[in-house]
Formats: sequence, structure tokens, C-alpha cells
Amino acid sequence: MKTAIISGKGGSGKSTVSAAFIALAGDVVAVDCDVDASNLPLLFKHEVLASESFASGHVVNTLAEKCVGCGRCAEACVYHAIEMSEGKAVVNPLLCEGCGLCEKICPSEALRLESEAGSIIYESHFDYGDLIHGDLKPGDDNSGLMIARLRKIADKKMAEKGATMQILDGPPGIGCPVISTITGADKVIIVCEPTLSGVSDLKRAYQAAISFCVDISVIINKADINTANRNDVRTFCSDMRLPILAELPFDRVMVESQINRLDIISYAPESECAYRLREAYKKII
Amino acid sequence: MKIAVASGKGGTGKTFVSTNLFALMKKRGLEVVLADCDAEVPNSGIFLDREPGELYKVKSFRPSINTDKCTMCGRCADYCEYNAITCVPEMDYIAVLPELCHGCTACTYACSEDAIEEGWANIGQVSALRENGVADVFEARVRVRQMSPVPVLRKAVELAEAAEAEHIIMDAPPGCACPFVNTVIFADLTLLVTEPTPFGLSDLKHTIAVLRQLERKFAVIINRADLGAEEMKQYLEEEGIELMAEIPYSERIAERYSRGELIIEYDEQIKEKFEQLLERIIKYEDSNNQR
Repeated sequence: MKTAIISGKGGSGKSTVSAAFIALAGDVVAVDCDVDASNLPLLFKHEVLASESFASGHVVNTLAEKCVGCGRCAEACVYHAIEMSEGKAVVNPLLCEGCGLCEKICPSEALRLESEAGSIIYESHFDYGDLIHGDLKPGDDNSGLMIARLRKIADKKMAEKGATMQILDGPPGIGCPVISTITGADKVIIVCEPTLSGVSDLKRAYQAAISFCVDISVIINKADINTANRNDVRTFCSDMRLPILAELPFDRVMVESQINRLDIISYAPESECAYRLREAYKKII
Repeated sequence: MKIAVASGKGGTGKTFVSTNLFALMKKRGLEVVLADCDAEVPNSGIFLDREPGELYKVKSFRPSINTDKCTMCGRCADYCEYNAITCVPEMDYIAVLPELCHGCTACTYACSEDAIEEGWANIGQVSALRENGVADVFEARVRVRQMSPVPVLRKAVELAEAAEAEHIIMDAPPGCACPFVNTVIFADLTLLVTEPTPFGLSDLKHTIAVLRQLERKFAVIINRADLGAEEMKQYLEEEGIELMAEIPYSERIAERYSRGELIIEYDEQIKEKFEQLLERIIKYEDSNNQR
């Protein structure tokens, strides 16, 4: 079973919940899909078994000696990635989306679309099984494609090892990397907090998830910080028929576990949060 | 001055800092507008008491193919790096897959038969929010299931610039990929809001690597500083990075925040912190102007 954990709003507790479920699952293939800020490798001691370089996109290189300074490329680029400087085209690689239009319309073959390596994918072993993670080259786009690759490796591992549980720790937001994380997942769990922003983001995350996965459930983190908002979350979940797997109380032990680089189940097994997460995990398996 | 408020990790307090800083600047009589660039999950409107103003639709180019003119040459499909056009001449079949299209317009350059017609997809909107009839908050909101929020957040920045205020605050999206880059690239100064946890520090380092590559100026604000910020401060010192503010952790803040309230309205201690932050920003601006 593949379970993806997402949130809409960042910092709601995705990785904390993922880490707890990983510890509870025991034999698991875990995937850290937040490739531009991956956190599971910080929490779990792991040994990298294999790594591969990943070309997360294309980038355009310019040959200044060939550029005739016509400016056609700069005019055509919808990403505003090309500027004319001292009569030459200069591409900003961080804005370039790699569409290659400039290469095709350049009259003097001064621009060349090249695939860009620099992102790395890791297959690691840790106490609870396999951990698949990656480092997206800073500022790169196309994290969606990289996540698809991580998931392919994870599926292969799962088949090889006969593991039954795959846990996908998702990125924040509702955009392309999130869609790439939840496509084809058996279950999506949305972690939310009962703040006004949290409630608004839960609704956006639900809208994004519902067209990709039918089995969606919710965990309310810091459930007791605002009763009125928590009730709004409950009402929304009941209207949309979303099961609430757990309501976790606000407890400093959650952040302390992270500071001590442990999952909450190992760090504070007797805590209320750990208890409720154990109950939640029983509901998903 | 344009100030982006950003963070690698989500949930560290970007919106908390940008809305409170914005409100304080307004109180001080400074000319300031706010652009909420977190178009996937925009929230700053929740904290600011504003009337709804104009709505600006954001559209992105999507081709449609006039099959009467199309000769099935396949050049448009070759030009498309996103595989958004399928052309099978043997079957006289050509189709655009709009979900894969990035709106780059390469296909229009490819076609010599004038068979690609311009279509426009609605990908999101920017809401102008008003105080006393004047728009001072521009909130970007991408449509659900759209791949890229970038054109929508750029529109919010464009509208904020058109307001011609002395200062613009941009509430940036989390992470350090393209939506983040397309926000901080406009800023004179990026304030990175972080928290002193292992996740916070690791994500901060990633973000700083991108800002350095972009040659952007930045400074750091540590939120929830009393969680134990020694390791983080040591890192900032070693790297010569300016620490502009430390905001303590408090359940009072979390509680007020959860209700969508501005903390500076209720908490003198936090207000004081924001006043010191504003002073440092103004000092930073002055020293930059002199240079």
C-alpha cells in the first residue's frame, strides 16, 4: 500500500506524521518527496547504498561569439529568462524553463538547449527499511519529474523486498510536486492545523487531491489551539466524508523529538501524540 | 524598497512576519503595499481587514490547431519540449494535451501554415484588497490542478509595482524551486524566516545557496528563537549573514495567529520586536542608498 502524506500549508507536521508512521510500519519503503527541502534523511540515521545523478531539466547555454545581438530570443521568451546585455543574449538559468524556443529561432545558432544534471537521487538503508530521497539542484524546476523517478525506484524496491507499505512524505503547497506525489497513491492523508490559514489550505489540498485519489483522510495537528477552527475542520471533513484519523494535541514534545532527531514514537512513546498516532496507523492498515 | 519574506521550510512564519511588518509600516505612515506570492495557498488576506476590490484574471497561452490549415508536418510536435502535442501523420491525427502545455509558444513559431491558433487558459487570479477604497494588498491565487503558479504570482508583483508605493513586501512561496526564485528575483532584500530546528537549519542552507547563486541580498529572522538557536546563530556568524530579528515562541502568538489576528495589535513585546526589525530594515536601506 502506498500512503502519501501532504498538507497544503507548510509546517503543519507532515514529516513528523510520516516519521511516526515509518517507525510504526517497521518494514517500509519511505520516500521523501520534498526534494527541495528533504527532511527525513535528517531524522533517520541511514546509509546510502546507491546514488544516481538526475537531469531535472534543460538549460540553455549561449555561445557569445556566435550571437549577433538581434534580440529575437529575448522577445520570444515567455519566461523573461533572456536579457540583452552589451549586444549579447544572456540567459538566466534560474528563470529558464528549458522550452528550447530560443534555440530554434536563433538565426546564428548561438543558443543551445542542453540537459542539466546536478540533482542527485539516493537509495538508502535505515532501521525501518529503505529510504529513497533526493537533493534537487538548488533553484531548479521540474521537481515533479524527479519525484516520479524517486517513486519508480521505490516501487521497484517494494517489489524486490516484498515490503507492503510505502510512505510518501510530500512537499507543501498544491502544485506540480504535490500532484506528482499523490498520483497513483492508494491513500492520501492531509495533515492540517486548526488555524484560519490551515483550514483554508486544507480545503485547497482536498480539491487538488480528490481528482487523483479517492481515499483521502485527515489528521488534525495541534487540534486544541483553536476550538472554533477545529470544529470547522470537523464539519468540513464530515461534509466531504473524510475520516479524521487522529486529533493530536498541541505538545512541545513534537518539536523536541525533531530537535533530538528522533521520530515521536521512539522519542516519547508514552506521550498522547504517540498514542493517537498508533491508533491512527491501525486505521490505515 | 522591495522586500521578499521567504523561507525554505514551510510553516516557519513567513505570513506571520510579512503581515505584521506590513501592518506596522502602515501604522508608521509608510507607503507600503503587500503582494501575496504564495499562490498555491495564499493566506495573508486572512490577517488583514480589507474590502474586496478588483479581480484580475491570469491567463496562459494554450494552442489550438486549425485542422483545415494543418498539413500534418509535425514541426510543432518537434518544437514542443513538453510533449504536449501529439501528431501522427499516418492517421491524420493531431492533438494538444493542455495539462502538459507550459504556454511557451514554441509551436506558433514552428508552424509555417498559420494553423496554430492562440487560445488562453484561465490559470488563476489576483485579488486587489482595499483599505479605505485604496488597493494595498494583491493576493495571487492559482487555480487548483494548474502546474505552475509562476505567471499568477508575477501578476501580483506587477500590480504591486504599479501601485507605486515606496515599499513592497512580497510574501514568498515555500521551498527554493521556481515559484520561490520568481519572487525573490524582484526583491532588493530577502528576509528569510527560519526556526531553530534541524529541518529549519537544513532548509535555510538550501535557500541561501539559491540566493547566493542569484546574487540576491538577504538577512535572517529566527522565529521561535527560544527553542535553542545556538547552532543556527553560530552558522550565521560563520557565514557573515545578518540576523535581523529573533522572535520568541509563545502559545499566545500561536493562539492569536490561529484566529487570523495580527499579533502587533495585542502583544507589546512582539510589537517591540517588529519595531526593532523595521528600524533595521530602514537602516539597511539607508546604508544601501549611500553606497
